[in-house]
Amino acid sequence: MNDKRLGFIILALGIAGILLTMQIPVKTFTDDPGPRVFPYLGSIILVISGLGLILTRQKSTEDTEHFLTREGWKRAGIMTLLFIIYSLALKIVGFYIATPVMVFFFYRQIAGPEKTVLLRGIIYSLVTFGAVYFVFSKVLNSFLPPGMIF
Amino acid sequence: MEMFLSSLFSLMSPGPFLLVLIASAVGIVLGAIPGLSGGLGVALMLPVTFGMDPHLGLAMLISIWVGGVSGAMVGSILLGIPGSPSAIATCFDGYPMTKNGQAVKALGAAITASFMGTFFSILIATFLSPVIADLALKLGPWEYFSLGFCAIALVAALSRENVFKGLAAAAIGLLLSSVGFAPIDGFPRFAFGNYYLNGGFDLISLMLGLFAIKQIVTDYARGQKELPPVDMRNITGFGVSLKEYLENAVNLVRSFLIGLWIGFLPGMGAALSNMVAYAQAKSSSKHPEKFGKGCVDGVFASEISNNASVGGSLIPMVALGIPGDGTTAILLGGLMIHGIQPGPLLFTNNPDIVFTLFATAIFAAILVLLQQYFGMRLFPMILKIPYHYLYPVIIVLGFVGVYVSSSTTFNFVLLLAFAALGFLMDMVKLPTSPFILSFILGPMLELNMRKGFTYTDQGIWPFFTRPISALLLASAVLSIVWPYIKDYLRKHHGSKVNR
Repeated sequence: MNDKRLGFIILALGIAGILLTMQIPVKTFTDDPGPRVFPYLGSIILVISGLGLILTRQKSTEDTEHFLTREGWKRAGIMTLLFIIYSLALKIVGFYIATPVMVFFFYRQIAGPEKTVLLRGIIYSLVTFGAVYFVFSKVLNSFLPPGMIF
Repeated sequence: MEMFLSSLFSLMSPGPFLLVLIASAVGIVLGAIPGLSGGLGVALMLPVTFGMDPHLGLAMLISIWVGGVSGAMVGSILLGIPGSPSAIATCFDGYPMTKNGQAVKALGAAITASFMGTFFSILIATFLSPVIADLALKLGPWEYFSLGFCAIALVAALSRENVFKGLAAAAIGLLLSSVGFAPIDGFPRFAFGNYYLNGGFDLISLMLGLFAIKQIVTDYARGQKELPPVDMRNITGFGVSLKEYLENAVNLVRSFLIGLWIGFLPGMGAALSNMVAYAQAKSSSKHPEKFGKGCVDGVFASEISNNASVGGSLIPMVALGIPGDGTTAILLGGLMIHGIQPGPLLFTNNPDIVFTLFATAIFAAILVLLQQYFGMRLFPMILKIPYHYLYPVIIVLGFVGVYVSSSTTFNFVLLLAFAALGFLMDMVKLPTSPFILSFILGPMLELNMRKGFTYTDQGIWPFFTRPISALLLASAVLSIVWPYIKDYLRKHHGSKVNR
């Protein structure tokens, strides 16, 4: 994405910020400018930045198409999907089931088929799960996600 | 002084000693591995401190940070790949020294320079911070607002490509910091009926999303490269003679002062100081032609300056509540999460915390020196730790960390949302430092801005008429517009010359 296109997006965000801020009911007393003033400040800076990006001539920069290759985008998508699955698993089945299973999948995915060793992966998953459980639950007395169905 | 010494002695009891030892070792490992950093370690361990005594929690975070800054030189020297941006200049001469068979000498110089940088900068911070805090107590809300605004503007102005991108990132941070109850009147903003957003965005989710999860997605998407093997035979001693230290005395002092000063300025941490110090060392050297080919002077300059930035950046964080760089921003967040308000009143309200912080940094610097000296043989092994063992642990710590901070699974949504935001910002090259700084300073800025309006009948004017506030605001504006004025003057002057 070039800077001009980014400038238009930032400008639009700034305008959206101003419009949203206008909807905050004004409740002020004495000389207090109220809860609107700070979001206005942020939005105005966004508008100025957007205009700045649109109007100034910048040195040509590396195009963001090179940010990731096609294969890279695919890998980013897979990792994001695994994160979403882990989030849902923590919420639904809880830490005790989700973590050892997902640690293994993360290990397998990052290692790739050539470097994956099944037994080593299973042991690694259980050790990671046990260590995190011990530190958070036993040493720090923190609550871990219990899950909805257990 | 008494409190400082008492904090230092309390760190020598078995529990705290072991904690600082392990945390600084973890910092060295994270700092050494390219792509990871001590800052990531501090963000990951922040939720762990919830169940700990604040003194111990803070000691752990500081130790990881000190170890991380020092450990960054390992990759630079042995592989020519810096562990973090703070050790980029170390590559210039450190790696050629390794190729010339002088790996031990390069590591020895880097280890001792790192120690000197951290140790003396923390000593200076210990004595200077109370003085600055005393002065800061005389400031009103106008000056505080302007100080925070100036810090954000300076960070935005330093954005590599375009000052407007830095400003936009800062503005996004300011807007996100306004989500939730407003200060003074407690009016809810931008929560859109979501109960979880009434208190604003969770800081831990933001930090871990931006530092940990985004980093893993990006690194995995780009593919981890196999690191080349390292030859580390015949490792004994430091490899640097006393004569070489003495010959570099001026270089060391100059680079130290550069690091201290750059660390003190908001947004300009170790990532910049090592480059500036290296450039100065080269330009002042009697043999500049040797730089880049394996000259130990370059390693000294880079490593003492990046570690001197540690103490430098602690001064504004402790005395003013303004973080010097990304990692001190996380530390500042850590203090706030424990209910400790950084700033000049910290010395009055929580002197024990302040001196624990300084004492730990000094203690950790000593332990890092010993660990690096005796563990030099292990450095190649650190660089061989496979990413498929590191990343799953970081992922689990990230998810568990955001859950334990408030026991709500909604934080998983925030974690992934902030990771996506960080990824998008990387993609369009919006810098994250101004964003994080604005997000953390936002509530303080708003509170002081609104106080400034209500303390007098003159509305906005005291911000511009009070000398210090006016000076800070002028500096903020100048830092943003100066590159454009400079360009204009250069072109104007150039056209006159051509005529």
